[in-house]
Amino acid sequence: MKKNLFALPFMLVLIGLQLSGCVKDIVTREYTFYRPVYKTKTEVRSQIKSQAARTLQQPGKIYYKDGYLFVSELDKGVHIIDVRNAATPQIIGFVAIPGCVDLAVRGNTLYADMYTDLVAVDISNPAAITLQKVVEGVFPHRLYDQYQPDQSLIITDWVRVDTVVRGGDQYKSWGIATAQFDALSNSGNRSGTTNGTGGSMARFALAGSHLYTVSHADLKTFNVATATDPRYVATTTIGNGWGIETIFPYKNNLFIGSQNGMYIVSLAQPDKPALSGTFDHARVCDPVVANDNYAYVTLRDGTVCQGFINQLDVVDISNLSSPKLLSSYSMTNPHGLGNDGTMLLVCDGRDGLKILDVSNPRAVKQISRLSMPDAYDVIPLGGLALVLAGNGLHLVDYTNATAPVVMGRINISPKL
Amino acid sequence: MKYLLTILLLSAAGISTFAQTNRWTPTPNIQVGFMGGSFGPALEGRLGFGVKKQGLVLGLASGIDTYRFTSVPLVATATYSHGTRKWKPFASAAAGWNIAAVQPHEKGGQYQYPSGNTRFTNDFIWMPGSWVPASYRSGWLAEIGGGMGRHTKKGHAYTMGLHYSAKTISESMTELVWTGSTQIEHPATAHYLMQRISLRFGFTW
Repeated sequence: MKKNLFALPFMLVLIGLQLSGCVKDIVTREYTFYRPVYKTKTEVRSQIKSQAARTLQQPGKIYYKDGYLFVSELDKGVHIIDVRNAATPQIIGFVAIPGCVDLAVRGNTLYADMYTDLVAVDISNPAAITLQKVVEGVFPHRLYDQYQPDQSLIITDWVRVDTVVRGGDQYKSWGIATAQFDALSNSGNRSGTTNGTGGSMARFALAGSHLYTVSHADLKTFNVATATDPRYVATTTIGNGWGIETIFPYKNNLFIGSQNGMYIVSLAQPDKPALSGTFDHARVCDPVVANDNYAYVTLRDGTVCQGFINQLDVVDISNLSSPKLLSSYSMTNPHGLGNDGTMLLVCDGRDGLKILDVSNPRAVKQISRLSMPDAYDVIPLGGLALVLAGNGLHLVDYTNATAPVVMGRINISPKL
Repeated sequence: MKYLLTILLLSAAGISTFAQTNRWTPTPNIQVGFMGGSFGPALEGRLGFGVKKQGLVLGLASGIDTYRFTSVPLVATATYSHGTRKWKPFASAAAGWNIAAVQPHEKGGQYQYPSGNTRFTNDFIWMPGSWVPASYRSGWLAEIGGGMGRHTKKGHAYTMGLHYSAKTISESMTELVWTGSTQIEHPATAHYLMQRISLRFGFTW
């Protein structure tokens, strides 16, 4: 039995080691993911057409033209909103453009990105819009490499999938608008084609007869002299070629906001935009607007931007080649902004819309604040501001800057 | 934990009373074990209290189980030893609760950020994220095993045996899920069924 005394533990250890290799932990995971839905480019293009007005769900960029506001519905298309009566804004139609993030409007032509392509859509009759042209492959940064190995296909939707996976031990790697578009149809200038006005968070900007777009790394130029026939001209690398976020046109210049500075790009030769000045700052997100002498830059922290600064910088741009910081004004989490004379309207995130007196650029003062959640972007229209916030589109009368009033509102219906 | 101790003490008292009135013998025991499974090695320790009549011991046991997610099993046990010699083979089984006592270093989790303008395209409001550990829900434990026991003249016994045991724990957290344009929070749950082989040494009074 003494032999057993020593042999038994060894035997049990050996058997135990053998058996422990046979048992496995089983993990059953319940989680949600979104699966891309693919269509061919032909199918997608055939679907760019007028659709019934729908509610705002994931609004993105805003663009104003002749009494109408165009709001991109993230990856779905563009809402057309009649804001001629500030008290009763109405969504009058929807243009389905899969993959749409940014937009611009010139004359009766809507430009938008459709994933990697630029599309030009005739919107003179919102009840029967027509696709005019597709410039293919000009936005390669919109390619979902991991989901889209076949570039002849386009992701048109993402479907929520609630799933249960039982397996081994590895964690998962884890109707038609009937309103007539008179104002647009009748719009015009000496050349018969005018450009709209974008918000400061835009990545598309129209200047003269050119459309400029920014990706995270570069500036692209399109000639849109014939509005329905945009032609790709060139790609220009700006700064160090990364972190570009927004573009704002003013007179003969583009003001480009990037994560590490503001770039001033001269449009003296519209086909060949050239960097004329740079204003560096700490790494943060920074949309920018400008007038003749000053540029206003909001700096904020953000996922992409990192950084820990939230402020408004006033920059002297009287010498475009050498912009100089004049003053800084502390803010909460500023996003889009718009300039109207001596007033600056700033969307300060959860603090809402702030109206600032910038008559003395060295001593910026807050005039008033209008509460709204997650204020994002604003287009001031001389007494009426179109403000996109977390709970909807607000039409704000600020003729009395000390007491701005929300005249009308269109709510966001969150995506379920 | 204090509730657990209270339950154990009350149970021990109840068993002891039962034993005295029914001619069963009270038998406390202690066990330590070395476990192996697909997650790696781990230790366990257990205190039990039972009543014995002939070769059958019925009782309750509790202790600590450090495999993957630390837990405190509270189980009903049954052991049967056969034979009359000094060395007796035994078979045992146990089943009961597996109370989650997951330690911080064992926890999964997710960085979470204050909700903001995530609805707006590729432009997330961001503020310093905070690590939100997962929460854990207790499950069950069951085991079966056998071995040999060396019995002394005083009636004590030294035991060693191999046991297969399975325990469950559920892990819940909120995940940020890519929707094609942004990330939104969704609940995610993982149910773990952990299977182990344990080499266990014990002493029975």
